[in-house]
Amino acid sequence: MMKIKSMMIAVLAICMGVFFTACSDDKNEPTENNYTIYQKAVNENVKANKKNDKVILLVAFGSTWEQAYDAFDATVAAYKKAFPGYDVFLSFSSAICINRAAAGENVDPRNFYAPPFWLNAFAQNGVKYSEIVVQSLQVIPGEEYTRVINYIKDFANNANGDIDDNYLANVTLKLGVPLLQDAEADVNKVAFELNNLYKDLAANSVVAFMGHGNPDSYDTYKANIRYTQLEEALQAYSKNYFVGTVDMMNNFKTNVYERMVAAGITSGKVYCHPLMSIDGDHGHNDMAGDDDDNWDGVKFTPNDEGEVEDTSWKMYFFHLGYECSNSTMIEKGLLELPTIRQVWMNHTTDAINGPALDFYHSMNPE
Amino acid sequence: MIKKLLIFTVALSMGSAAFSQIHKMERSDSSMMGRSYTLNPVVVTGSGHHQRLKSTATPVHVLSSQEIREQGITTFDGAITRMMPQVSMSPNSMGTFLRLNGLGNKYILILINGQKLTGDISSNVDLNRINMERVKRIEVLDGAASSLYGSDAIAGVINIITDQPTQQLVSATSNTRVSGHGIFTENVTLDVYKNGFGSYTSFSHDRANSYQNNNLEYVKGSDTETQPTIAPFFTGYRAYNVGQKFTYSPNQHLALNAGVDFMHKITDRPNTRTDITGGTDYEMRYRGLRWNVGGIYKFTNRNSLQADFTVDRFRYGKQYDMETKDYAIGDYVQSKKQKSMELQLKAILGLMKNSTTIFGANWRQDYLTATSGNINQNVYTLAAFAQHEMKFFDVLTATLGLRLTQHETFKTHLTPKVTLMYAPGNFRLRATYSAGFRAPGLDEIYYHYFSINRGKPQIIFGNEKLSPEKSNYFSLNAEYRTNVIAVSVTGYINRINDMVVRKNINVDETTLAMLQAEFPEMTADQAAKLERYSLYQNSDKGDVKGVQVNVSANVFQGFNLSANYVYTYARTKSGDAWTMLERSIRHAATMAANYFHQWNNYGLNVNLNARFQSKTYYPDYEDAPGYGIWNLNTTHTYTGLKHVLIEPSIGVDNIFNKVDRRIDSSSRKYALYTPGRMLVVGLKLKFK
Repeated sequence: MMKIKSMMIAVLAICMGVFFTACSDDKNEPTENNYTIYQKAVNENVKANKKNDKVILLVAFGSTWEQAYDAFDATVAAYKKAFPGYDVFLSFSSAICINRAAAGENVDPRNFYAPPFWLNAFAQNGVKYSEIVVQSLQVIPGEEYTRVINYIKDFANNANGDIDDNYLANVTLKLGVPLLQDAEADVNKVAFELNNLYKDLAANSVVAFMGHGNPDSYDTYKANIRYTQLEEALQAYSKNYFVGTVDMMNNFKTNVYERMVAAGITSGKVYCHPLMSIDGDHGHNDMAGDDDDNWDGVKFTPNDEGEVEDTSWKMYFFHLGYECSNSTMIEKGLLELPTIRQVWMNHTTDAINGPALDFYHSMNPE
Repeated sequence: MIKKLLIFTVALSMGSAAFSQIHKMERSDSSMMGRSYTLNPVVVTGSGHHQRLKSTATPVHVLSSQEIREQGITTFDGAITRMMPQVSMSPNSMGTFLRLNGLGNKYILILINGQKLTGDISSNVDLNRINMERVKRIEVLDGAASSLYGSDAIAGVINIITDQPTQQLVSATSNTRVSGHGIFTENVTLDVYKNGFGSYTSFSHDRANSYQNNNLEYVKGSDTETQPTIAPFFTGYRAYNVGQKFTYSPNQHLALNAGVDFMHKITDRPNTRTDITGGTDYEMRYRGLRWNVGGIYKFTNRNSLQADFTVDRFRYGKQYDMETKDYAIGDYVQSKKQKSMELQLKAILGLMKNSTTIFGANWRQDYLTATSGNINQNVYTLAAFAQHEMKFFDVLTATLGLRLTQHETFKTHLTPKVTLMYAPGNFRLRATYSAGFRAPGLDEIYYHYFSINRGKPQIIFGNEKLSPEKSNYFSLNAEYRTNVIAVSVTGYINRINDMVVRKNINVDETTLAMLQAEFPEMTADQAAKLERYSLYQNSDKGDVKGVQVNVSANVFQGFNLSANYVYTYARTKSGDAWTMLERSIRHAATMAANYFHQWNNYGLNVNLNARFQSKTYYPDYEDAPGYGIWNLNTTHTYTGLKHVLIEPSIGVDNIFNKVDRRIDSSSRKYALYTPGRMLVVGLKLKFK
């Protein structure tokens, strides 16, 4: 008996000991870490700009280009106009973009923040929006979109344990899906709108869209297939439409070229268009840049995956004998095309009208 | 000593709670939390609607499937006793005697997905009916909860919640575990989910051989002279479970479910021999069949309707595996057949911004056919319940619940519940008053037993006038809970009145006439010898006082520590004297340390677990000695393959080889049933 009791005491004492040790670790904490600084800034921003009881948070991957900032600003303005009962804020999900934007890589420094800061700020005392709509500005429901989902999950599950649980249990959370969420409805709608815009060009020339795509190892949700589906839907309008990517295996510019050749298109004009929410670094460099380091004067040397590196789409198709130059580069992000932007906004409307996300209530009896 | 220990424990935990207030996680990214335990999971059992543990006014203890897996446990008994000191078990051939907060099985309500698991063997619910591979989490609610759950919720409620994953189109798992003494479990599941339709199939086989820790018993009438026996200390068994569940969710508002579960279990004991005692002519065979249909309609996140219909059948008896005078091999003699039908309707409504209201109605029909006692009866129970939970001034939550029960024999009964929670920051202070009741069992109402023992008639009588057993539960709880540490201290008093027990009544002329009319087979000669008969009566009282201390912490990334201690002082009053409640345990503690690290495709989990308990009281026998036992389990997860996850595990149960080897196991009382140190090896495969 005595043995057991002393054992219990010992065990409890050991546990406590560990807690004390764990506690004493943070005695020389720095005055304020970046996390706190960012959170404070976003909290103040939201507090100062709160006009409504509901809020829309747009989540883009991010960019450091002036043209992209303009597209985002115009999108926020369009959202404010279309959703009058809602405050609208924009966040970047890419840490690299956030840091480079803050450093002022291409233009004047601008502060963007990751979604968790915004969500926390929406939940702060004195703000506590009754409805939070998170709208993904991703094109495909791929890797970046899963990050958006996980941000919401962490928020709803109070991952850091500092949000009022009662607020979380009562707040209405909604999620607007990416541009090409649905393999039929969205793909067909976007193809229809793109064709409306570019059918005159496609009548006599190739119109090649450049999406981003997920590398094979990150193609978690098999979302890359949307690019293929979009190409099929566009080709129903014209065989001159192609959709390639920067990162999707077997759908690089080299594969677009193979498909063009297979379709008998070996010369003529090739228009290139970013299939991304904004026209930023990829659009200006990977698509329309002057880089052709891979070209040895005779041929390109593809890497193991079949992509020709260090060469823009423009220079690639130019060296392969097509009419491809600055004048065939359509420097527009999808958010700059009002009819495409409208598809995203329709997703926001659907989210608002649809059922709320629920991280509490099981749909099975418990 | 006890007081000192209590003070020490409470002081320490309070101290650490206050201290940990200044403990702040350095958080640059929430993914840094890695594989920490959720110290604030969503729970349902306490309040009847989903809430985070931190927000619920009626706290529960949660055992997640993650914890169960990391401890390498494949049985319900193992899972719950290793992690919850307030629970104890003693297995025997008549089922496992489960004890929660000092009280026995008939005062514990066991639910599967909120629906009562019916069917007991001498009041012990057959725990082999729970398929552990399907468990998502187990919630243990301490104390009375009859306002929500009705009968039997006196010592507490154990709600076993199963998982119906919807992430993958097709997934299959196989989980095998092998240890000494023929211990073997195999669980196979196959899940298919597409377009809102889910199919969940499971099969499990669980077996263990009978074993002895000492092969001697005392010769009858002597307490020194011994002889060998083959009577098993632990009764071996073979159990099979087959389950099929369908879910269909045509949209995000509606979800329908239907399921059926079948269990077959048979003991495996040594057969009767002429040269040695302890064998038996028959095995005990148990079969359970349970099916349910139900649906949930969710108008919004905070407003939903739920309907569930469950039919549960359970029967058991003797199956002869030896030729005897009266029976051939394979003959089955049924002892008891039970059936229940239950329909429950429940509405959970968020009528106001800071409130949740529950309305419910319940119909239940219980059937019992028992050879012993000559019972073939059924009774109905109707109930309506309501609960309103309201939050005031941001920090106060009050709950008021009421249940009105209409029972075929005891008529109406009212059970209230009131809770109050004060929640400043990460602290919680909770006060609860909750009433419990237990409807008398059909055997207690209708028992009708007559036999002649050495020429004397024996009569046991049920009592249709029995009142329900009633309890009043009071508790005070203080808690500090963040995502890094959770500390909770609870003190409670649980008073039970009108406990139903069998009392001996002296026979007078009027009762003799009544008994002769009831049992016409009794001869005048036998009647003349009848001095007493047994009658079920509401007579005894129970009184349980206890303290629980729970500490759990994510100490550093990948390392979690938890320790739980309970003090239980459980007494019963029969006649004028108070005695310790049989099978109650004064001190019990559990401890678990878990470490996880991931290297690319390989994840290592090391889990060290311990349970200590003081002696188990048996006022009429000798007490069972206390023990301390340590288990180590390591799990190795390999995720490098595209379509299969491989998870071998290896561990040692009972590291220090603690064994209770006292002589004469079949007539003495035990608390420690392990056969000693054992290697445990497992392999889990998950196909995607």
